[in-house]
Amino acid sequence: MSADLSIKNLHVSVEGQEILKGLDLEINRGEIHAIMGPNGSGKSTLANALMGHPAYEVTEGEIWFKGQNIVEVPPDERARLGLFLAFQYPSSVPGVSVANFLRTAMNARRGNAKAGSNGKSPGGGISLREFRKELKEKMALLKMDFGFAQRYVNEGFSGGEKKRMEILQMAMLEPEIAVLDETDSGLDIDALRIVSEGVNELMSPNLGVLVITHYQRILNYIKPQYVHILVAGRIVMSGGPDLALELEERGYDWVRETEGS
Amino acid sequence: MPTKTIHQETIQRPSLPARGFSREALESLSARRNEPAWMLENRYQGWRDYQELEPPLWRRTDIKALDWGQLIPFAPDQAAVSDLQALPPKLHDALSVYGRRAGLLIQRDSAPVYMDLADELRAQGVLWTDMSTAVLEYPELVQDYFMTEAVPASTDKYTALHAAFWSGGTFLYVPEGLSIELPFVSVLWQEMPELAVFPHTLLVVGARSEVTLVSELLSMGCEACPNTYHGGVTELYVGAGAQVRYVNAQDLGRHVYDLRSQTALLDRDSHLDWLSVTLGGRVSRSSQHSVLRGPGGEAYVTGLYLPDGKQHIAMDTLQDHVAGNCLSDLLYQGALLGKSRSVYEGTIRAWPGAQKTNAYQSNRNLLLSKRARADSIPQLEIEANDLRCTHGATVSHVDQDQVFYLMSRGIPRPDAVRLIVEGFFQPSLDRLPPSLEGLKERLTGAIATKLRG
Ligand SMILES: Nc1ncnc2c1ncn2[C@@H]1O[C@H](COP(=O)(O)OP(=O)(O)O)[C@@H](O)[C@H]1O
Ligand SMILES: [Mg+2]
Repeated sequence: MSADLSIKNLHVSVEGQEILKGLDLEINRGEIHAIMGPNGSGKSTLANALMGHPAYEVTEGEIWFKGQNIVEVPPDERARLGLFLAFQYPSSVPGVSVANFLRTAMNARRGNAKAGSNGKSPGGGISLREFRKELKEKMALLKMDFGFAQRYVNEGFSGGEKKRMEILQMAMLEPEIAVLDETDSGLDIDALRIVSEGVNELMSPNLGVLVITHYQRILNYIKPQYVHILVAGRIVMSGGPDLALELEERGYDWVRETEGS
Repeated sequence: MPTKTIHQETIQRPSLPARGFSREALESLSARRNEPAWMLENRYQGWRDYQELEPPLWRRTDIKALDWGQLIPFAPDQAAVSDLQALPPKLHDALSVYGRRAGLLIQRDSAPVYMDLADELRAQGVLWTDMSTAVLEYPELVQDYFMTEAVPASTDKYTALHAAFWSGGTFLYVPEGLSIELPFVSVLWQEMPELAVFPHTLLVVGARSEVTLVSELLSMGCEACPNTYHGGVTELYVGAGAQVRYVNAQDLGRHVYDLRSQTALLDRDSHLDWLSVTLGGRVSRSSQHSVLRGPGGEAYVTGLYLPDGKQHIAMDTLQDHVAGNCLSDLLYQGALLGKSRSVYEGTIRAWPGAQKTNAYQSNRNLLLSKRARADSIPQLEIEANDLRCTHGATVSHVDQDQVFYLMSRGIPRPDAVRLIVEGFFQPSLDRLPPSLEGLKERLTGAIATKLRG
């Protein structure tokens, strides 16, 4: 049996430059993994490549999810298969309300890609009532004001609001594997606690999470069973939760030295 | 709501008028409408102007493919309908978005087929009818306002032709001090191929009154039909302190050449909120001029266009600050598909002495295809020195990071692009009031339909 998400010898280039240089990683539902690495080590490159961003070219290797190598699968299909990425830098979409966006996304995720965005869902996606009820619950979980639903997606959101918005989407879309790219950055301590509690609330045997961070801080709240250290496009060390603490104490130079020796 | 069936002349099954424009055709049109001598004289004058004027020099808009000699100059009369269900489906769908309304007027080609008006408005002196009936019933008003100040017949060759051959259209007169919340709706269905229609819209709003008028131009979609012509003129007179909302939406078939001149004259302290939508036509060229001729006037001018295929949509706007202390705020937004082309020419003019002018102009274009092209030509004619004036134009493509973001949530690419385009148009659509929510939804639907191709 292979893992639910299985990344094998992944090489990824951006603008012709190789950033990931043979990365292996296995994640199962029910597990929390953390990837730590210094700035520029390729963490976001991994996240974007997993989701299928066209600028991140997989030059070698495989990504197995739901019984298929998804390297050639377009991003929307990956999402519908149950993959989710909470972006480090989410885009704003002016003129599109959070509610409209989420409802369109939920209808798509639930195999109803044709559902309309203007309040109607031909083909019978989630009903407006059902949707509002669910949205209210999930927003309450993340202590978000319901008024947010009428704002335009990420338009004028503060850094912290954007991160909550990402986790709200995760809550609504119920993925099987979720990658959280620096969800802790830009959050003050209260917001970090709320967002982390939200993620913990969502944890279940059906959800696997990969937390990407370069600080250990978030791992006090979202407790990983596995910690991996990414340096210069390769995972150079893997271990249990203690590895994060050790790294915090000794710094990335220690990793580089250990690896070099 | 009580209905009033429009009086029909007793011509049974009239024969089609001969093709082409001529003095005789004009006389025949005027006689069939039982017009008074002064209107016939107007038409003669229009015809003389038409013959004398050279066609305007349009560097980018080409209407050579239109064969004027093949056009039928006016429509035979049509029978009124008492049952709205009997109307063509597209027309019927269009009407379904309007809930409660102050009045409804439906015309097929240039003949009125249905109208109604709320009783209490009639009692308060509101006049609402098709333009031909207005000539017969309210001659003094029509003589005062018809192509006198807002769009004089001699404005250009095509307005002159309109003066000579206008038929049908919308007449709304609101006396002073009336506040009417529900919208008036006028829908014109251009049906007969090769028929030229020249509807005239005349809105006269008395001091301190409030009114909303929506005017829709529709026809069946028809690529294969022989070319035809739509030559409309719209004149809006906004009285002192009046508040007017006007929406005109054009969704004509691809066989229609659409040339329209539209001008609003705003008196002191009046407020105009005007949205002009262009979706259809083979070639469409429309003007949207706002003349602020009394201090304290405010004009919010919005344009929305969405050409596809080989459509050509050209628009010119004028924010004409004759008086000082006025505001004009213009937003023109277009998205372009296929091999289509748009041309936007926008002028801000401030006359000597128009001090304390605030004038803003923004033109935003979104190219959805590599082969589409949007031109934007702003022009400033400023002769006052104490004013605030900004203008800006952008031409951009769909942001691929936005597309990826939406796709990463499971939304297929075409739906992602549709959402982004709908979002792009939101600033224009947001200028519609809650009473026109249905229209807003239908426009959103029309945008989605265009994007599906
Ligand atoms: N979209 C991109 N365009 C150009 N270079 C990129 C892009 N994304 C990442 N890179 C480059 O790849 C390297 C790794 O970046 P990234 O994956 O964002 O690192 P991290 O998330 O670990 O900080 C950096 O050198 C960065 O400049
Ligand atoms: Mg990063």
